[in-house]
Amino acid sequence: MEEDILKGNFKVKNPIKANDEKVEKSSVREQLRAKALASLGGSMVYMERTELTWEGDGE
Amino acid sequence: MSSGAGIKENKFKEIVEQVAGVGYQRHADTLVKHAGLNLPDAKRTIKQLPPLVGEKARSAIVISAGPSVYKRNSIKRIAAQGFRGSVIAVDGAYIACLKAGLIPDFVLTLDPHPSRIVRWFGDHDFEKHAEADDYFARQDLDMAFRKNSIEQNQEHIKLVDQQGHLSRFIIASSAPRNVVKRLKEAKGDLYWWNPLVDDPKRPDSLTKRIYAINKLPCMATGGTVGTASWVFANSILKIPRIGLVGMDFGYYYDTPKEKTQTYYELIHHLEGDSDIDQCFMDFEFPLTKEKFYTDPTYYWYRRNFLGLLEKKTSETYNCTEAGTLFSENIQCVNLDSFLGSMRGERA
Repeated sequence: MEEDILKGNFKVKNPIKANDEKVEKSSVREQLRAKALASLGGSMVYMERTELTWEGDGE
Repeated sequence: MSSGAGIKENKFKEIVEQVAGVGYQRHADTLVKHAGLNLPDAKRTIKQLPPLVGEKARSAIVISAGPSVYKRNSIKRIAAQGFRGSVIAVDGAYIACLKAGLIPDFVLTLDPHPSRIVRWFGDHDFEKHAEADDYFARQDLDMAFRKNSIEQNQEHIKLVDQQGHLSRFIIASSAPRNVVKRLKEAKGDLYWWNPLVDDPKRPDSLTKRIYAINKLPCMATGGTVGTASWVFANSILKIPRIGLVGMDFGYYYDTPKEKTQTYYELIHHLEGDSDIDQCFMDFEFPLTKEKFYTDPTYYWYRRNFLGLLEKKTSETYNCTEAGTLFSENIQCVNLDSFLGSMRGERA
């Protein structure tokens, strides 16, 4: 069986989490990129195509 | 267009599209929070401004804080020619106006940044806020701000304390508390408004959430206080002829790229500087044929402004004499011609 072939002849003391670390690093990278991109929009929210003014719905 | 130029333009536009709206979630909570914190002070609104009369009602100059204001001596020229219309300055141009002996009728402030904006009015926490922030070193308006000196800041505090009572401050509910405190300390006359940040007809509208807190009238901003100042002149003051200065939406061609306002953010976004040239676009200003360039942020601001301009009721002239703001909807004219034509109407 495949599991038997891959089994080592000794036990490592610490569990290896190489893949998790990779995912973590890439997620940090994405977060930094997203943060930088958000800064490019300046400090003010603005969605396009608004009217010039608005004063409520008359409620 | 060569394929290289095409790739560059595509990359540029791709970043612009990503910029549009990306800050929504990031800033939404701040805007709601500031509107709540400012509620006890938001007693008068922009709808309660006394009506303008005479020449103040007939024309206005909007003074934004682009690099041309400094390079073209726009403020000094306006002061020297004795312009009698309404003078509307953005926060970043206010001190420069006072130093030139030009007292703005109105000063607009919008940005919620917790430590930077207060410096436009003289900052009591200058040293603390200046640590590890080179934002002002990348401002082109006034060397006084680039030098970041303690002495200059003290002078600014004194100037605003002495002359703050002479202007009306058109303050957004998004303003940080230190700006509100500083303007009250300088005995400024405050009139409040909300930034119109999205379509209030949408059920999840952020504008509607903010409005529910304070019921203040809302004005579109295009993402920048300069554009908000034009909206104020056009739609609140209803001034029929408006000139713009310092509305560059870009940089002089000899400005090093690393001195542009979002350079570090672009480097981070690209994960290096090898493609950085793709983040800038060239323009030729039609009056002078001088070359300028812009970055995705200012290109986006420019696009927002031109979109809002389609709804204008005033005649609007770009007297910046530089930059990237031109289209079939806005006439570029020399500042002296604009000021001269206003004098001609008076004679």
